[in-house]
Amino acid sequence: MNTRRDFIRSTALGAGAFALGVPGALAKPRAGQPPIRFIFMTKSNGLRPHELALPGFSGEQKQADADKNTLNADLSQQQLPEWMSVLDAHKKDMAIIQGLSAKGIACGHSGNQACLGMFKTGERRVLGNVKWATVDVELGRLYPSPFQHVEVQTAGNNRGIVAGRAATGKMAYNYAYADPQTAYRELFKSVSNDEATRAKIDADSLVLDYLSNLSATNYNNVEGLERLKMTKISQSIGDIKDRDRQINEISDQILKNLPQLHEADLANDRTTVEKQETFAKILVSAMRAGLTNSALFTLDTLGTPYTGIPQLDEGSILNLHNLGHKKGYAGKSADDVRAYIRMHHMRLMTSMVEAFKATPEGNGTMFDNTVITYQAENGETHHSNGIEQPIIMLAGKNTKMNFLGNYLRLPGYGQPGHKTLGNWYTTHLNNHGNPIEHYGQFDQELNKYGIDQAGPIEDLLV
Amino acid sequence: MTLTLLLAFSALNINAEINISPDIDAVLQNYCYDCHDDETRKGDVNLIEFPKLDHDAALALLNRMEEQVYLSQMPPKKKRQPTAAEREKLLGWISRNFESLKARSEFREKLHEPEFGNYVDHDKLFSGEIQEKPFSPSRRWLISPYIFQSKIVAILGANTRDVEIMNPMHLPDVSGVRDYDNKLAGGDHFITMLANAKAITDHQLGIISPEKFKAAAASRAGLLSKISDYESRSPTHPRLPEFRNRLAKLDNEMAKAEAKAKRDAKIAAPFRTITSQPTPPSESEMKAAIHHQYALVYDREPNPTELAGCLELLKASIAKVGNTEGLKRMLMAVLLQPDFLYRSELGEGPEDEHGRRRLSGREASYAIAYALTEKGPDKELKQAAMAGRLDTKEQYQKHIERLLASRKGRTLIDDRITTARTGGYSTLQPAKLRFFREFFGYSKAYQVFKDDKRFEGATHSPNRNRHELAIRLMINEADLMVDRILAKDQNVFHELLTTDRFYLYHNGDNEKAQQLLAARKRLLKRMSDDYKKMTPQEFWKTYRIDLDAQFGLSSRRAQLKREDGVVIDRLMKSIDWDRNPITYPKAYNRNPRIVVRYGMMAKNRTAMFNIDHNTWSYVAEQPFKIPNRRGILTHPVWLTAHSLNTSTDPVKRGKWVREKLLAGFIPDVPITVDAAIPEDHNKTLRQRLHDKTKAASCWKCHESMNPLGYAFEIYDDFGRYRVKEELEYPEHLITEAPDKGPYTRNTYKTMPLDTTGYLSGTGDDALDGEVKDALDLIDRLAKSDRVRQSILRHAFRFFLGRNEMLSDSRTLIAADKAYLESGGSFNAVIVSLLTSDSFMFRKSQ
Repeated sequence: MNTRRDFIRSTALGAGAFALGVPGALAKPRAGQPPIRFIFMTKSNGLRPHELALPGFSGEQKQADADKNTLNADLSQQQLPEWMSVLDAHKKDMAIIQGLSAKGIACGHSGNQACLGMFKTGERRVLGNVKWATVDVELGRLYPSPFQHVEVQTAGNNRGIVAGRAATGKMAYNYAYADPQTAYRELFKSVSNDEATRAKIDADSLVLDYLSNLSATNYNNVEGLERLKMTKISQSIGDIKDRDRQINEISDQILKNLPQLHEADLANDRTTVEKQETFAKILVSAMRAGLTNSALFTLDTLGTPYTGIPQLDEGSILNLHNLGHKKGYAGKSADDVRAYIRMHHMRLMTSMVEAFKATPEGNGTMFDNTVITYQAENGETHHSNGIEQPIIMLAGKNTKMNFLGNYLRLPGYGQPGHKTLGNWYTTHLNNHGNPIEHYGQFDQELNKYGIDQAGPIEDLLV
Repeated sequence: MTLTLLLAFSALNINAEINISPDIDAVLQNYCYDCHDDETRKGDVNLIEFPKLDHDAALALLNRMEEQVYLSQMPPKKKRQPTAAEREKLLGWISRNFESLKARSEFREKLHEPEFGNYVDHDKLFSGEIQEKPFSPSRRWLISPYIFQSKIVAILGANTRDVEIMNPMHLPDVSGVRDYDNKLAGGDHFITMLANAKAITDHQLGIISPEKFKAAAASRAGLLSKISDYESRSPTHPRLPEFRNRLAKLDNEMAKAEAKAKRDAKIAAPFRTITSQPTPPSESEMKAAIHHQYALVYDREPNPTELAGCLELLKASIAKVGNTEGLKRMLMAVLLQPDFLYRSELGEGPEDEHGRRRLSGREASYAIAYALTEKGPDKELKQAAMAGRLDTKEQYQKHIERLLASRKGRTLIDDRITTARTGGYSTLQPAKLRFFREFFGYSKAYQVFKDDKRFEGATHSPNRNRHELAIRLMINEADLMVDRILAKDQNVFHELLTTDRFYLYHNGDNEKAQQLLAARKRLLKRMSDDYKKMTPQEFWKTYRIDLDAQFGLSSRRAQLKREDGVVIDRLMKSIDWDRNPITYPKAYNRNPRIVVRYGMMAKNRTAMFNIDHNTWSYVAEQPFKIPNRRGILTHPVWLTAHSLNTSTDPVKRGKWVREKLLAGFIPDVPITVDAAIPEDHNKTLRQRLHDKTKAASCWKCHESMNPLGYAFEIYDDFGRYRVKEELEYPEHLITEAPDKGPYTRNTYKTMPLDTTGYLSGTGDDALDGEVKDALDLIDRLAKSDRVRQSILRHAFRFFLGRNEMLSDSRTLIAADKAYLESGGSFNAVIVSLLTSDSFMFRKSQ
């Protein structure tokens, strides 16, 4: 009889065996220390700053928060908003950050890559405006792994492998897995015990071998730049082979950490919520297995037909764009529906936090080395202008975050000391070893206020 | 005396010697040591210290020296200059040192990049003194995104929409020629091609949308699981019928989809032979499949290495995964070869007495077709190549002229700025239009984001009046203007630079525009009459769509709102019967419902031409004369493309003129430069820029840009003509526009503008000198020989995919002659370039 694990292994699901995703550099773990993992969760329709305000604020704090003045509140002394309450047990590992802006790159309904790349891609997703790798990809590069970065999304009605919302470099979109089945197959197929799948993987290797040999004959008689053109292709093939080799080396680890899924979890008739839950399990497993240390989880876009939200009637589809225009759904007000969605997102976040906390690593748990952030892809509301970009973060003790356990409101837009999302990302990149002076485009309008936009947020540097 | 400089190679752990022979030492002594010795160390450069430098520092200094000497930037102009022979000697010495250090010259590599094209001496290039026979280096040239798309269409036929393909080819978003032969395919290209190859081969083998079936199968499994789960709770659970219904529906859909897939699959015979048999195919069947795939993808036979390799792969794959999956691996392997991404121009024809090899007929057929059509060769070109009739200049010319005269099919020029609401501009001659839109760089305007409120303010329907949308429509109209000038093909450069006739709310179809205008006037008249007879609600019901189109009132509501009634009343009473209403022939050719919603959108874009759409009497006969404009450089899209988000950019505009029209060059911005213009709320941008750049160290570069760019200060950053500059700071606010409301914007205190500039570098004393403003500047530029030749140099780069070398001198002189003798025909230039030795011959480098 097939065991549940057998099912999972044999569900490598047959189709092609070339794993997509940009191969990582050769994995060289930090000497004696586990890598730091990053999961970026993004949502659409904005994250409205007042929704993150703590209900127990004093009158003074309330005023400061409403006036966008600096504010620091100890979360342990405060009650979380109801929709966040599932995170109550994790308040000491949590931070709510308000006051960062991204006006230079914000763009109405959607910024696409902008919220992670700090370049203005525009609602029409102009490839030419993708200036560099997004921050999630950059952070992943600091902690190499076979899959440098993994992206999953429940966007629109997509399935299969689609253009991602992260970027791997200038004018280079990332790939994303648009359904759990594809993500599972692509990430874990190397340990499939299904003979047909194994044979397909072997046949794929033959193609790479053929191409390697052919490219060698192509550059035999050429020099200089022309030789470089051909060797570059050989290198690309070599990189894929290297990645496959790395995956083989950790196959035991992968096998031990296969996600605990039922066949039905991978079905495409699952609700949006169920798919997201499966994605969360897949990401946790991929990180446990050492396949990747950085992930982008696009929870929804305005085109996602949302189904399966527990508080709402099953059977019909929630239109997020309508919701953004304050249209309620299933007899509930738009504000209530928004809260239900966020509540569900928090449950997902909590499930990952708890899974990492349950995984021993070194002298502690895997969560000690994990950062999970939650933010809107476009700013502070449905039609955002990027004045605010609230963030919820959960992070472990080794992740160089010195502000955990706090509600932190930084000076508002245009105020002295105001900080942008670019400063925020620069801080994390610097903290983790990327010495970049400033990450992201500057906000031209902030110049009017005489604010120096460059560099990290000094107080948060570790 | 011979100086021996020993360089310690810390990284490589070797020593290298740099010999300074007496003649080199003499040159350095005469021209360099005065400023760059132990004592003076100007620019922190001490050539005497050379022996003490480590490997990296020595290389950096050599790179720096080479650039300065090559560009004649050192010694400074006021100092005694070395002779040309002495410069050559010094450059030769630097070059030899790179070789002995086994290092590559960064500067020489830079010379291959588009932005360094002008480093080749212009006067020398057109002097006629260069006798070397032209050629291009043997090369593989990474295909453009347009060629990639056409290759996919060639393989998949009309079914491209059914197959998810990602185009891995991207060109840099810069002003100027972008598609160069020195670009490389990297890991990203390969990864993307892996996914593409999988999708294409699935399609080729009739494995149509395998994900769909897998997904359906998994869905089915999920449903079965659910049914089983609910049955275990209760055999009569109320949700069971729903799940069973869904299962039945899914089974039905799956059966239909599979049947359709089988029916629709058009599997090529050589592939079907393999996929349809249960046993491994014979070697001849396998070879037939390989030949078929090469013919389809590359339009050629496989070479012996490829054939042997593919055969081996096919056999091994079939042995592992069976016929269909095995065949798929071979098909993928063919698609993943470098030849798919690179166009091969190695020069496979015979070698001539100058060591150059002619393009083979096949290579030539692709080179000509790609250059003009962005597609592979057509039937005639293929036949000519096969029959050996593509060897001589005359044979090339015949096909080039044929393709230039072709009226077959229009190509959408830029899908990035196309919207479903507005469409995009399409042309019969994509290469010609693409060259000029890249050269002028005006299509970049859509990437310069502007605050809508600074544009003309929001309306109740802001999407229709956003700057982002307006600028896209303006780019379409700029394309139309350029394309019409190219179609006339007379005095092309002069016309592009000086025409005072532009398109606005027009698609170039004057006859249609006249008809529509007449119809529209009749409609307004009828509305006016009916307004007097009908109740407001009847009037709204009858004319709400027209009111929307004409006046921007939202037609969504079936019922008239009271406030709309007030507006309509005001409108109907204020109709100016002498004024032509705005008519947009393009929109009226489309679905009328789309017209209603979007056809008349972004009317406020007329403001970019300083035209108030509320009072403008529409001109049906276009292009029409617009005051204070002269050619494409005064078109709002060019001015916007060369501006900043919130201000003009005289440096960018001046740099463009210097580099693109005057064949000049501006050195890289030193890394120590803080390029931000200081804020001063009481000065114009020009004054602030002047304050920032007047220091000698800045001015040595800025004097080549600022005086040209200042002349364009008669236009603001939206391209609006102006006589004063607004100081857009809160303390200078005069009137504040409401956040919502029709077409208003803030007004601020103004300062007078200084729009004078200075033209230098035409090489013509009659043209160089102080200019009054951009209009004066453009008039002079249009008369300059150097400007004409500079445009030709860029055309060379576009059609040859590389920077010109001195050895291309004859090609450029011939192109210049062809342009002049033909009365300014750009077609004549193209024929000249594509029949030149530079295009036809290759030489290994």
